[in-house]
Amino acid sequence: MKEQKICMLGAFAVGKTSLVRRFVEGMFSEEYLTTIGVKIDQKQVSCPRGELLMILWDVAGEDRFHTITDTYLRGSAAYLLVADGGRPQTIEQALQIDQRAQKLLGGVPRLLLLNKADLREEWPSDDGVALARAAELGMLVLPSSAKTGVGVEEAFVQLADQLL
Amino acid sequence: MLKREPLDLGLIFESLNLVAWESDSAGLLHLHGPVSAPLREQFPVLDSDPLQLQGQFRFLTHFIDTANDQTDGVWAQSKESGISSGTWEEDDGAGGLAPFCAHAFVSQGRKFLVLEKLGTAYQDQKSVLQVARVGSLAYEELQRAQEALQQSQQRQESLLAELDERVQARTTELHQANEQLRQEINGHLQTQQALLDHQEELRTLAERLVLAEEQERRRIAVGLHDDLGQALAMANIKMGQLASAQPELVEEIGEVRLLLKKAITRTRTLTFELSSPILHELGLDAALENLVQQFGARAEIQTRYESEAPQQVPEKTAVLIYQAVRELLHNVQKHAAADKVVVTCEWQPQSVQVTVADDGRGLSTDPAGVRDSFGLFNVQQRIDHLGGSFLLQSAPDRGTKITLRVPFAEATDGEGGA
Repeated sequence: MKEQKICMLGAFAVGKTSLVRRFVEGMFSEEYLTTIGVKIDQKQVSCPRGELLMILWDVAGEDRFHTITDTYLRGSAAYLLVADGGRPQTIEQALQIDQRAQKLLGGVPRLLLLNKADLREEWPSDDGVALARAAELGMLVLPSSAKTGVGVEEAFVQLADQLL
Repeated sequence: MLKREPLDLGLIFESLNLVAWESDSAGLLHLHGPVSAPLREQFPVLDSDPLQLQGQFRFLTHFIDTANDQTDGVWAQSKESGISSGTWEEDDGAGGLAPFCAHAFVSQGRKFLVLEKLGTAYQDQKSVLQVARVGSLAYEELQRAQEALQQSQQRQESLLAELDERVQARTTELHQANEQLRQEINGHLQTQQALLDHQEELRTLAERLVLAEEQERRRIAVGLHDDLGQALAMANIKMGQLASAQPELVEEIGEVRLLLKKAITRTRTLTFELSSPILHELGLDAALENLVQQFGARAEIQTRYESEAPQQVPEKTAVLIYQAVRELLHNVQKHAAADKVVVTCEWQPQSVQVTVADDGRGLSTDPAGVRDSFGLFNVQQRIDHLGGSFLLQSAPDRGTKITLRVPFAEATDGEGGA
């Protein structure tokens, strides 16, 4: 079975680890536990084009003191950018990470997930500019919620299908 | 004294949770020393020699691939240098995570890999980072709350400004409406004042008319008494003298003298009816008493006049009260079908209260009813003009009681007396 490395990228506390846990284990916890370095998980997925073993690299989120190490990204076949829909600046941060990743990895498939969609009613309305830029970059933007599971499976499967 | 003996690296590696491998020419990794017992039990794959990760420690596999990278890998270039992997976490098989860090380096042309299981220092670092990020999230949330608050305040200020504009516009409209209303009120007040002035003028004219009428009545009454009455009396005396001188004409002269006496009596009656000389000579109290007595005799109604300690009353006031009582008695005779009338005067230092009460059929107390009766209305108007009060109390078949209260202060001409 074909296996591919997929990185989870984004600012800290946007829900990368929770998305992986929801996708791999079907579980969710409200407790926030920061990730240091990398945590690797894997899951076999069935796509319209076949099956794929996704090696999911849950990379620690960026903040003002810590940026993602390029060596973590090496060998990634695709990546999922994650932003918190309730924190518009995390969309901007995801787009900055995307620029670096595209430069390092070339035009690999990627998706932008606006996570925590279960809190969508509380999202501010000033994320339009960043989302317009994502659209200009040809990036597919999907809402997701690791808490409810909405959009999680669809995002990973859609990305996996592009790798087959 | 420090013993300088060779170090047992194996013991050091074991105690520090380190595992070391050396890469051979074929790229296989061979253990350099023992794997600590806890680490071996937790991750048996690390104890393999040569190292066979078998799908586990994927990050370590990636790191080894990086070190072997022909482009810039530290092992591929065989330079005396090293790289570190950074931290990663592995499932420890017990539901927890074990943090690791790896180092690849070249020393004396030999390629080494060291795996380090991170301990307390890492946990401290993680705790600090956890606290810092939770704090950062709280700070972000606070900033968002502040922004929301600022936006809310801006909206509030905007609404207040809009409200202020609307209030000012409305205030201007109200001021304009108020000014217009004030002008209309002033117009109404001027009209009302003109009306009051006109009414006052009418009242004054009516008062003068009453006084003029009374003066004329008095002048005529005096004329009747002094001229006609004296002439008739003189004629009567002369006729008496003529009867003594002409006994044959006694019968005819007697008839003439009878006619003269009737004329004299009628002249006296007319004199009283036109203007009571008692009013002008003895005052209001005596005049009212005489008026009540005359009225009882003429109308054949039982009358009583009650009065104690009468006061001096200005002539104008006296005339008006006298005329008012005469009008009220006239009404009793005309409409009340009464058997008894009582007129009472209660004298105060500055006013008098006159009550005319009968036991007749009564009349309506409705003010409109008073206005319908011109006589009563006329009396009320006169009393009002003097600053007094007019009170009508009546019920069907239970008589009528009219109370007039008249102050003396309103009078300006102080002639006459009670």
